Amino acid sequence: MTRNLYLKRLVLILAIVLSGCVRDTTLDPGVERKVVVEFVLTEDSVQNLYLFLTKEPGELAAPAIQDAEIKFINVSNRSEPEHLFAKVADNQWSLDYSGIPGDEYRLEVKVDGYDLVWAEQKMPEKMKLVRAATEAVINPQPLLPYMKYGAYYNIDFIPDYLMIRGTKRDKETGEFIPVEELCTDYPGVEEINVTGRFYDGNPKWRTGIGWHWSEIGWEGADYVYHDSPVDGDDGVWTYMFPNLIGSNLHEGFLLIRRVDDNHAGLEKLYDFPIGESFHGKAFCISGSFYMNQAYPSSDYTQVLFHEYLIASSLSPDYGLFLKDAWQFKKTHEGGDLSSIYLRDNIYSNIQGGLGIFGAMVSSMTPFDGYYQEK
Amino acid sequence: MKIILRLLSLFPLFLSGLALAQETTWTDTLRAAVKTDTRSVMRTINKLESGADVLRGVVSPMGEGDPIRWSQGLPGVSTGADGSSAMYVHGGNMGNNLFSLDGVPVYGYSHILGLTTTVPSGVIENASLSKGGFEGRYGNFTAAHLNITTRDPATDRIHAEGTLNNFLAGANVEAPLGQDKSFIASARISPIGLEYKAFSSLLPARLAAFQDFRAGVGDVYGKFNWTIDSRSSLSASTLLSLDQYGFTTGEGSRDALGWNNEIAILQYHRILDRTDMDAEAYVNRYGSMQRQEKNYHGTDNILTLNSSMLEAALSSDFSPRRSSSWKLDYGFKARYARFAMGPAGAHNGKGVMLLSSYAQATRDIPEKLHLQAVMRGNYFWNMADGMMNLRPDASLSFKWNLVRSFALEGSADYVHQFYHTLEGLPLGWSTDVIVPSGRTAPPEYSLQGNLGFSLALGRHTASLGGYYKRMGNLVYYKYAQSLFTDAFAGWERSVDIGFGNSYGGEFLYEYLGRDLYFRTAYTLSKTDREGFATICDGGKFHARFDRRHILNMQGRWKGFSLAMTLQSGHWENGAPLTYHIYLPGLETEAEYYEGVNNFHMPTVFRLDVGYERKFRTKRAKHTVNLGVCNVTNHFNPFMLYYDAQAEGWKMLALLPVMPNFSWRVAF
Repeated sequence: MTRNLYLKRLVLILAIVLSGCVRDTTLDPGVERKVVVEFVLTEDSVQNLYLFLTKEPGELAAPAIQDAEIKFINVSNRSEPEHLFAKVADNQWSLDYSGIPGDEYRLEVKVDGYDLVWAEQKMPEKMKLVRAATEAVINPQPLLPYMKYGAYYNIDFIPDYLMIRGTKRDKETGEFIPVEELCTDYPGVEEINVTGRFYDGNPKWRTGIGWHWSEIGWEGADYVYHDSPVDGDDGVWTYMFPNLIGSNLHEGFLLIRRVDDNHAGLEKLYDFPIGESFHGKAFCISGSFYMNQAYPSSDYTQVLFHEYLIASSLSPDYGLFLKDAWQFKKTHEGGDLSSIYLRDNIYSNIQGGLGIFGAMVSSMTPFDGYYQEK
Repeated sequence: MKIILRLLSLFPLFLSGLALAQETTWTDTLRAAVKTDTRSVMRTINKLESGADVLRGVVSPMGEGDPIRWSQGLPGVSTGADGSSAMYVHGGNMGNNLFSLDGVPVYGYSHILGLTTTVPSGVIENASLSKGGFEGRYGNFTAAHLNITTRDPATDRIHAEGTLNNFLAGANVEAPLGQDKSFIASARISPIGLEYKAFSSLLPARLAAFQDFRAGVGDVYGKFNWTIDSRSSLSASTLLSLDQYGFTTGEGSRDALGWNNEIAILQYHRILDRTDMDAEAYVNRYGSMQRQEKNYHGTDNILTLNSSMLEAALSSDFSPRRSSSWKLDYGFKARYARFAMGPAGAHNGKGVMLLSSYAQATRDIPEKLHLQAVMRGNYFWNMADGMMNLRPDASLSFKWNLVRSFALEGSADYVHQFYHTLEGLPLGWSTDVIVPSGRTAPPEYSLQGNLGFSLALGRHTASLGGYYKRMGNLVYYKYAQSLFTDAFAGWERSVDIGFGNSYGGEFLYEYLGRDLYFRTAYTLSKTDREGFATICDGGKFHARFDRRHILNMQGRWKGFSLAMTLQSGHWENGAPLTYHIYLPGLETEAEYYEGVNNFHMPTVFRLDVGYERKFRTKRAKHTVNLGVCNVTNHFNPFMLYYDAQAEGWKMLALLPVMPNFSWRVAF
């Protein structure tokens, strides 16, 4: 055997034996499958509950639950009969029932082959987002511009978790759609859904004289708002809630965790003096609203009311779940590779299973605001 | 050369299990090797020591063994992933071991992806492994001490030696420099990058999982001795090593990892009137890096993790020459260190200071009793967070010969460690991240006891013992994601502190025959972690390398050798259960993890065979080792990595059935 021939054979042998070094693995630790329940009790007339099983590692789909007994009990009112959810679609059950704020409930789910899973939940008390003032307010922070007009909101009691969303009419379809981005100066707003963008006051170039009181009474015309300065027309830059300029914009909702009963931190903002029509602490909310829609029409009230704020009081369990689930969703749906190393579980209050039995009470209030000169 | 080529030509035949013997002037090194092993000065259940020939005789993928391979076959030692140089002793973490070169810590001792150590075998005099009853002069570790002692350079004439094996090619030379000075120099470089290119061009499809493999691996060692006078001597030595690897695992997916050591040592020995004095100064820098570039969900990601440390120390040890059965050694050591970790890995902030002093009393009654007691005081100051504390260490060990062939042995240790190596790094990340203790992560401690007996009957020796260990202030990195974003200053916020427990029994049996040597070591143990507030709600979970059963067997008959290891699989973080969130606005596929280290990796089994032949030519002595590693081609995972394209985990085995070869020629 020549040396060259030997070396060729040796290399061939080595190459063959080096093959097959890599194998796929599901890293299945053999954890038992779990029952998942997702249900948020509201004041709506129909309650929807999702019930299904977890998927094991490497599994494309979990076995479907064909039948289950789902009891819903008002613990605060024993005279009220037990309710049973009815299956309406794959993984979905429903019940005709409106949650009663302040009442406590128990949910029991029995799926064949699995232990009973259950959870208890107290429906939060109803709260309202109150428009506290739209009049002139003295801004106590000297470095900020004098607030000529604005909308200031107050909440009549502070829930454990307050979620504020917005809704507005789509300019083209006329349908109500969610307000994409929101910001506030309420202290303690969770940063889980900050977009990385900052509120710019939605600047508009305002032209026109505007209505004003004169010797002959009210005279003038509506201001006209433009996206950029108009040649030949005198005007001024105006902003919606200039006091919020620079605030973090949050995607879809504001989630505020209760700090204390007295709106800690708000006293530095707008502490309305006693003796006015409203007195107490208030805060501002703004975002991607269309406030200038209000002004092309002189029918101020009608158009203004096409934009709303939805304030929801969340049970503590739902608040924790919402926070975790949102963070998980955003982290894993992005392109951050390091998310594969996360091993944090989403909060659950389902005993013996996973998911959430939460509760939420909501109210709507008109969004209000003006374009103001800085 | 002809003989070597002839041996090489027989290699395919050898693979099929046949081996041919030739009448040459070979020497059976086994006898000498075993003699070294059994003639160890102190050979108890807690300390084993062997010479260079024994170390090299261990069957290894490199063709010849090294101190790590030797240690991994001993009882009480759990290995890391198959093929790696990691070892876990009595439930401690890898960073709880002290790996030292002439007593100086080597923090990155792994070489060639862990197949061997950074210390060239040609310069090794002997190695010892202590698992308890620790000596006073070494501190800042809690599990085991693997010490390598280097040879003094030859003073008679010029010696040269060359080595070649599958993964390394090296040479060393030693020579006298006048009457009183001498030196030894060694350099090794790895051709695995070139080997990969040869294989991949031959069979590209077979190596499709790994493309563009690049490696830069090498080491340099040098030692200079000066006998100043009959009472004093000076030696200066240095070890430089580099490991760098890069490979592509798919389009847009590149991995790189590497580590390096830079060590300079100055040692002075003086014989005083009644005492031997050893003074030492060293500077030690260790750095490691791992980097992943992957496209994930359409986004290019670069994740980088660096860790480095710089340590400088001064020490002096005094050892009175024995005049009675009692002996009292004492000494002190002062060291200063700086650390860096995180994506940048740059040294910043202030360092730490560790001052230690010890006294060690030994009583020897020949063939009856050996007793050793150590007291050690440690003063640690973290200048960054201002933490200062005083921690005592204490060790006690004994060997009591009840009868001539039967001895009772035991040890107890309460020791502290002031550097942490973080546990809980993300799956697939192997960087050793070393950080100092401080207010958030106090010094680790270990309280352990060992008790057993040893028996020596003719050619048979055996030992059987049990141990229990409690570990405290272990550090677990809980927010893996933040490793890639947090600065060094923030690591304390991302760790949990907890405890560890380990207990077990270990057995060692050796047979030393005329031509046959056989050794088997078995360890039955259980190791867990607990008390980490955010992990498993503070409950117990497996230590990562909690291998319940470890059985190692080695045998040599004349030039043939065989080694077998059978070990329970280690533990990795298992995959989650998944479920869908249907609630409006939150729709996503969610995950549920039931704990950490909850996936049992496959059992490790490896059978290696080897054949050693020594012969002389006119000018040189040759030692050739041929072998096959993992004869049964059992799939023993070496590491896990994430395939971003397939969005799934893969196991990589480093050692499939693989022939090995080493050739050592000495002039």
